[in-house]
Amino acid sequence: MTMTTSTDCLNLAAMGEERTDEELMLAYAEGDLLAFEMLYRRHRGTLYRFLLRSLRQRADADELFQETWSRAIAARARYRPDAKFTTWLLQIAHNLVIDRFRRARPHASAEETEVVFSRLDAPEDERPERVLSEFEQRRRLQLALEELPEEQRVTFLLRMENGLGLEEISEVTGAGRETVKSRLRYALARVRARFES
Amino acid sequence: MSTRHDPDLDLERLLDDDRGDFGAIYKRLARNEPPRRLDRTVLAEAARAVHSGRPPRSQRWLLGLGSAAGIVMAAGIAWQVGRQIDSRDAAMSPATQAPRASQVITVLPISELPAPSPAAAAETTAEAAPEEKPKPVPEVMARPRKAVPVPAPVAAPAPPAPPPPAQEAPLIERETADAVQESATSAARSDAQDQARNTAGSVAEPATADTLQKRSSQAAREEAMPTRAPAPSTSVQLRRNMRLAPQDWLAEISRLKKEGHRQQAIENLLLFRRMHPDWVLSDDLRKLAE
Repeated sequence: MTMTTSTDCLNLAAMGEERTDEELMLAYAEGDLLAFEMLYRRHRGTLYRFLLRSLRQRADADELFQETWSRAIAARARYRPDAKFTTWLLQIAHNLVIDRFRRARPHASAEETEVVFSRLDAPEDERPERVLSEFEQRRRLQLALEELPEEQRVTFLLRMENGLGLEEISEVTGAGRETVKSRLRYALARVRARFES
Repeated sequence: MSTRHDPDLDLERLLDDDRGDFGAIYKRLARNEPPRRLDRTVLAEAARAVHSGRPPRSQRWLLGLGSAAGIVMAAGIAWQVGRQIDSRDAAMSPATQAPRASQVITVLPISELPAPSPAAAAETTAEAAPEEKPKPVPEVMARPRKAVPVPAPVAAPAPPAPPPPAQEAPLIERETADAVQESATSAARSDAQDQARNTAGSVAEPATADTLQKRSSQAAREEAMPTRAPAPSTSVQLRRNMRLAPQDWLAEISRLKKEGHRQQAIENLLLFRRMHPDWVLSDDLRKLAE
């Protein structure tokens, strides 16, 4: 299938941004392919980056990206708009990521994270963006993300990349609200430690 | 001087709109995108899912609608033919008008009430004949309506109601329900009409050589009418076309138009616009639809 023709562009423009994800998904379930294309365009980037930064391997990210959309397509008739589309899509992706992690254990223990907290004395005016060059900041954040334990990394990414709140992260990951908060705190502490090392 | 970061405060800032200290840095990380190869694969899969296999639940009504449309057309033609024959008969032998009307009336209760005694039938005939006599045509309409307690078989393929939250579904559903109901009524009318005609022939009408000849000539005419066949074939074609990709369907519509099948092209186009309301049509197709 071709991505878009000039006519399609007109149609996409006519469909307008005002249609919600949920409306688009329902329209696709009814056979409206352009609705799917619009939906795909909206979420392809954020979903891909979530997978890539969670898995750290491009090949894995590619594979799970395709698998996530395949499952969404296959389940289109069962989609109900009471679930937010992004939450639903990320739930599919998250489950696939967790399955992949389980096949590639082990990872960092929680005790290691505690050690990070104890080292968190930082100069008051040394905020990361003020001390390091921009390149260095990005490099450090990238490394910090890669070093995060899987569950913390996924939780942190759901916040940073996908902009989900505590409740939504809880819904996607199936973890309790307090657990989500705890993972975010640990993740932040680790990232900060990487900046201040 | 150094200060210990408060994890709760950090979390609070992370949950702010700007996502705290690291939000700005995170935004500057490489904005990786999926490769085009993946785009093509996913979109092709989405298209395949729509075009192959069973149509989604809420589209199945279109299949029913196609079949119902064929039946409605056939029933309408049968009714029209019957009407023409009746009025021709009426014109040819005015002397038989009264007996014909009375024959029809005596048949009516058969499906609803126990068979009346000959005396009661005679009474009914006597009362109804003057009223029925001047209106031979509405009589044909009246018969099936009274004799239709049987549920129409066409109603069976009507699709289950789609989920309530669907945006456009209710309108389509209502239209479909109306169409299916209409077709059901017409089909039932046609069935009842045939039934009443047969019953009238076998019970009330004396099997004279004249009536036998009339019936056989009517049957021959009905047999000779090619009108029943094209309706289903059109609906089959419509059903086939609606599974095409939008571009292919439009190409097919253009072909029909070019080859002079204007009516078919219009039918296809109307259905196309229902299924793809947002699709921008070319000028010539838009003119055709209007």
